[in-house]
Amino acid sequence: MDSNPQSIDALVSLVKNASSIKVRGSENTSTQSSANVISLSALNRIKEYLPDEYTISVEAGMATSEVQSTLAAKGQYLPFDPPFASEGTTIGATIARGLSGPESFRYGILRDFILGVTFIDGHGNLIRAGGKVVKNAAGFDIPKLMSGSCGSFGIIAEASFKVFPVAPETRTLVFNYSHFDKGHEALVKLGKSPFTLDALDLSSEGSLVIKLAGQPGSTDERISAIESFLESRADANTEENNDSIWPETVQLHNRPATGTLLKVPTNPSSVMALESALTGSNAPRRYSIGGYVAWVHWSESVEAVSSLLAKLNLSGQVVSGGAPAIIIGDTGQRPFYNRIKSALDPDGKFGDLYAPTASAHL
Amino acid sequence: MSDFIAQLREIYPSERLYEDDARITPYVSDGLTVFRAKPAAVVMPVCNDEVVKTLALCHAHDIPFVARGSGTSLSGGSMPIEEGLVISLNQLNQILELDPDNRTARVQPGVINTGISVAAASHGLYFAPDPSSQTVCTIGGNLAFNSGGAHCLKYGMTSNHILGIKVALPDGEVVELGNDSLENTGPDCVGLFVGSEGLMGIALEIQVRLLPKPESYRTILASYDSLETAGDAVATVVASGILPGAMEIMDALAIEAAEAAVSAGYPDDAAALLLVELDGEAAAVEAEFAALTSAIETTGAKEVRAAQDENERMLIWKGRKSAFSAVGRLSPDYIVQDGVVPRSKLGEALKAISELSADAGLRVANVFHAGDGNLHPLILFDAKQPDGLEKAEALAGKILRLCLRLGGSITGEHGVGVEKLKYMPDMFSDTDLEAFRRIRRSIDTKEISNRGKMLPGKEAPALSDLGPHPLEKAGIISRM
Repeated sequence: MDSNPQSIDALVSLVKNASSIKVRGSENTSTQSSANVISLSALNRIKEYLPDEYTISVEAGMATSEVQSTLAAKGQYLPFDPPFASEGTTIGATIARGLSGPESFRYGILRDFILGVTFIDGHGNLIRAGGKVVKNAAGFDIPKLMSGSCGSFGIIAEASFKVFPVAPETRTLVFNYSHFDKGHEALVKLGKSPFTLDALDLSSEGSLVIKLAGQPGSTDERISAIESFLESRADANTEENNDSIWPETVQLHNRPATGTLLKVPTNPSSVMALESALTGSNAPRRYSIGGYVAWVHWSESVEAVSSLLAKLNLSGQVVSGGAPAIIIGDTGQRPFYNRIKSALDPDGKFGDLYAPTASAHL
Repeated sequence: MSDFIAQLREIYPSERLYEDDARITPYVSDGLTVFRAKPAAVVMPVCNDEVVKTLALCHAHDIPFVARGSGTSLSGGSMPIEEGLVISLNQLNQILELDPDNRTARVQPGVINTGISVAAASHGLYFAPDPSSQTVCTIGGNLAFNSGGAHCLKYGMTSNHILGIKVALPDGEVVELGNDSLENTGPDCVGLFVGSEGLMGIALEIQVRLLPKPESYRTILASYDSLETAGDAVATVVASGILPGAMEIMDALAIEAAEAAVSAGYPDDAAALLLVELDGEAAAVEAEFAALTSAIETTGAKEVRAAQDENERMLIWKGRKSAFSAVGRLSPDYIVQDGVVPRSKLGEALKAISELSADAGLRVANVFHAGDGNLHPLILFDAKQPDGLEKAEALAGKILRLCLRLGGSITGEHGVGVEKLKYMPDMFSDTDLEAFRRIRRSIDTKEISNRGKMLPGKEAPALSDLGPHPLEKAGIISRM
């Protein structure tokens, strides 16, 4: 069965009547054959955009790129820098999969910008949580819980975000280092410096890629200050020296057509450990958000990378590559997850992030 | 109960288990002093194991408990439960680890908010959330109530600075949420736990995010003839595309009080003051400062001053941060609300508050976080008057419902606690509240963890607009 509900009410009744249901995002994942697969493409409107408030509320089926162009027309943007927008990913899928891009280094990731959410839980209840204003402390923060939940607590129908003004001037700089260790040293040094960078990435070859944004006329002076701080000159002659590389750098340049793309939360210290563990694996990889995430393409068995990550006390999320989005490696959050799951989806209509049946599809 | 207390005595020595009135009395209320209730006992654990054993015991005996730090909650969030247990976390006050390369610290819940920034200062780092009570409030309380402060528009609330938590759930199970990264996999369970008002157990260890201290600040003080004009000026600044670190407004009553208290040098003829602060890299801040100055010029300010040095900047902030307690001195009693309105409705909201204040015959001072529309009307009243508190509460209720009507929230940073329970149904539907309750019961089957806060229910009758609280009538809680 394939359905395309035209309204939130229709979506509610679909969920009520289904024993198993899955939203088709743009992630091209395989699904359990018994699940109803539905599309939210008809729920694609902007509910409210108030540029003066720095807030926008949209239906979940809207393409992230459309949200972005609506904001750009008013000089604003989503500061968590959602990747995969160029592939037609919807805003609902972006939330469900917990996708943030390199520029979240400046102000925070998706969970830091989601203000409110309307969703349908496994009981078929339409629930609104959070709010539409930029500050709110009433009720449980379910909007944050929804980020990265992969739809396993409910189907997101609408969401509200905090947005920010776009800085008028941006620059992308590349510093090439002879060894990864040297690039990593510079990453750590810059990360704890008072420089306010929009993006701070490190390639596995040891290139540090930086994005700066600000008011007109201030960036040249800031670049000189960064160069003198790093005691190194930016390389003006590389392909990456271009603002248009962001945020799809997460998709890894020249990534093989088969295999899985993993998001691995790290920190500047664990980046060194992960890089050592991956050295010799030929897995394309890139360290982003100032060393707080690694994007890794894995062509071999997912079980192998799962145990590699678990040994480093790291967890990973399968983001794309013909596999359901699930959590691998360290799964320490599972006991708490199970409790929330029992409250919102006791009958398991939406599938389970950690279920062994899910990994069978890998 | 006696069996419960006997088992507590096996966990705690008498100097850390208070059973007598003399030692329990300081715990009967928190920052919302109009309500008080007497717990059966107070315990002061010094290690995680004691907390876990205590929770398991509470669970086994169906004894409700409240975890408490410094008790600065303005919503009654840490008010005890009559005949329940208070678990005071002030002795769990160690910074367990500070990692400058990762810009993180792992701390116990009883650490004082500013203590983290003090410890991180030598590395050029700080902890961003800055509630006004930051020199005394604890990180555990900040986490439970998702505290805010003056810098939330740009830097977010407490939640945005918590990366991982080791939690003792209300039945004694210990779980780990999140990690030591800015990113996460799977649902953001940390985000759910933060701001859950103590309903999901006790945070034993907290991984916080530290930020590099800004290189440079620029602080502007602009005075206006009316609160509305100042409110509109905020919208102008925001529309100019600048993102200030803080934007604060004070009205005439608050200015007068702050001036009397700390001589901040504020203009004495202003109906409203707008404080705007930029922070960041020096070159970037200077460029933003030029843009900010041009924006402010169009707002009809009577006078615009820029702090010329760090001393002037600190003095401006000292006035702002002391305004609360200073206003408190103008009146025998006051209550403060923290409703939120959309920023563009600030002018409208302030005008309506001033009309409501006149109607009620009660003075209201306004000191608030204008950048995120977070109002802080301080309602001055005299509790000795027969209906003093009732009138003040009725006015507070009207202001909160005004916030909701304008599209905002009943609380920006103080939380629901006990105080705003009755307004939850105005903000959330029965279905929403039932979902909250289901989530709560999945974590706490017996609903013993901070029972009676945030979620209206049979265990906590909704406060009524007029007359004493139902629990007061029953003699369970009392007012000062």
